[in-house]
Amino acid sequence: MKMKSNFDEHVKQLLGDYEPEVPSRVWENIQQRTKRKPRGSWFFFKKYGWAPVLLLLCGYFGWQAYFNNNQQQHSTPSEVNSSAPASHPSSTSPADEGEKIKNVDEAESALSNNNISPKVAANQSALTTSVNNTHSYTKKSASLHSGNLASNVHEETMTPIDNESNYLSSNKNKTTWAARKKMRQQVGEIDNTDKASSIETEVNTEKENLLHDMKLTSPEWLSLAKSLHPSVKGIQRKEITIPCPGGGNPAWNKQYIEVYGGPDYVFRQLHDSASSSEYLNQRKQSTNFYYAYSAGISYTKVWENGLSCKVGLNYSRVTEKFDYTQGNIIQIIYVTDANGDTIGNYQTTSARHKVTFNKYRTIDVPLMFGYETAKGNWTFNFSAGAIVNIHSWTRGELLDRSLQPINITSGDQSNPYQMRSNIGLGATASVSAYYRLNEQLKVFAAPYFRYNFSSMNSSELALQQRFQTMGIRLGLRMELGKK
Amino acid sequence: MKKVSIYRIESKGEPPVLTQEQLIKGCIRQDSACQKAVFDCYAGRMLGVCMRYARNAADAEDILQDAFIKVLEKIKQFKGDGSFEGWIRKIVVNTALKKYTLSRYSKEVSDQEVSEQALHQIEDPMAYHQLSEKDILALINALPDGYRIIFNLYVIEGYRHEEIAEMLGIQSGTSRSQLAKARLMLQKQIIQLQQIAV
Repeated sequence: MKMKSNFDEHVKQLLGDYEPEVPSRVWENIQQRTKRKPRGSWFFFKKYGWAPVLLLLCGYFGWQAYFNNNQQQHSTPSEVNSSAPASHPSSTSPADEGEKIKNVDEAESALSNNNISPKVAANQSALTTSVNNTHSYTKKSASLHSGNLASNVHEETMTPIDNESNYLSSNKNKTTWAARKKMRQQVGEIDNTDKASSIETEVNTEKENLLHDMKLTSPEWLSLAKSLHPSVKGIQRKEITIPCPGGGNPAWNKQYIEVYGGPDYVFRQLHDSASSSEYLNQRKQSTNFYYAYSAGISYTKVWENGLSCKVGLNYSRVTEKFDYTQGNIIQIIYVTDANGDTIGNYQTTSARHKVTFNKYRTIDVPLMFGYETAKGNWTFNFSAGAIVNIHSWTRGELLDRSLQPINITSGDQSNPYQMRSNIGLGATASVSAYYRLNEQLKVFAAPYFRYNFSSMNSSELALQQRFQTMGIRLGLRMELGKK
Repeated sequence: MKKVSIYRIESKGEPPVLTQEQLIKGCIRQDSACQKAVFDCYAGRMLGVCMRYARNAADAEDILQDAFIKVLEKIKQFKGDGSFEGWIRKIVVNTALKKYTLSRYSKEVSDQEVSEQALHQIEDPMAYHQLSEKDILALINALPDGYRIIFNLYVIEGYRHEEIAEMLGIQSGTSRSQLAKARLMLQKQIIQLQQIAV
């Protein structure tokens, strides 16, 4: 037993701290195996693919909203469009009050003179008694507008069958829509006039009757239509919702396209984990910010509650100046005779100065959420969000650890000083001020800040370089859906 | 904090000195200089460990290589509550154990028939004192995988039989008997070597 423990001790003593020489090929093999696999297109898609998908989705919904907006405008009957241009009640000036009162009086008389109630009753009887009865009704629409009233009052005669045919045709919504719009305008004008309060109740009642009369959802109309035309048996009820005139912020519920460009200032962060202050100092001294700018295009959607979403494509470029001076360059100059034989030499000492302008370029997708509000001709937007780098590339030179210039131009994968082709995610925030030029166009200035989470150079290097950007974007904003 | 010199800037200045913590952080960041420094620091001793577990030098290098790749990949998991070298050593031993699996060595062990009586026959207890570390290493390498692993775990690494049994998924009694058999085989080989020398 004692021998056993002695033997064990002896072996442990001999082999416990045994440290043979490690062949260099072991580390080379480890290096090869731990070398990062090239990031293929799938990796890129997996990591950053959501950005273009998000962009596409935003674009799709933006287009959808724009399309719907246009469709709604086109479905408005031309007679209403031409004779009664949209006018927001709140935009009517006090000077128009007198004329408005007169208009209201005329509206009252127009509505009462046209005997809407008897007409509706007749129409109802026509529906219930006989389809062959060509009992007609007359509808007089009064389109009231502050500037042009008399010319907008016109008569329109329709039989119930004609009217129903209109509904069943592709323009079936137009009459209802027009009637509703006219009524809404009437009511809107009347509502905004104090002196019209006495007739408000009556007009509302008439409005309800007329709307019920003209509504496609009226069961009587549907049964009549189905009995007349077998082809329309499959018709479904369809409610047409007409939004009431909005009383919110004029900046809300809109979509914009923005084009911008502007100067930037870059705060450079250099951190050396190898604690080599000499190299860090040399790097700081040899490179200085020169100029930077960014430009891009973005789509902004502002919802009804004032919240906004902004997505776009941003290009930015940072230029820094790299100064390199190599001192004590010794040159030996040999003097030769006509035969080429050296007859003497002399020595000079000089310095070499080299200036390179390094360019760092990035293409990013900013996605920002914020709040927008307007006052008069001014609109303000406060936004913050993420900025995703799509691609970045560089050109220029820097000092390496041996304090010699080394090329950092993108493309040489074997060079460890190369900057990364994707600097990843960042955060950004901006405050934008817009000034209205006309109904569709605004100019804007937007100070912004961008913070990059990751460094620009390879993580294999001890010295990590990062750029944080502050700048101002100047540009144009165009409202979508305005003509 | 233990200071580890990692690499020298060839051109100018003093060689930078990193603490172990900085070194580990550098490895987490995949700083190749820090990785190389860790390798340079511990590869020699770990190769010694590998050589005891492996059948030959080539296998030992393979184990070392695999183990260091694991170390560099899993260095984030090192919490710093024990010694860094101990953590690396554990990875190296586990890598070696995986290479020579239980099924492989148990088969080999069953082929080795050693009588209980033979376990107590020790002809020349002092003969091993004349052997160098390389000789003993060669003898250990010549042991069947199962014997070698248990001998290493018990004698050099200092694990108890219960721990070895748990690590290898065997009974602790098996571990004990195999250790005894390993000793006996070693003694026989030592005596043979001595006889040849004489």
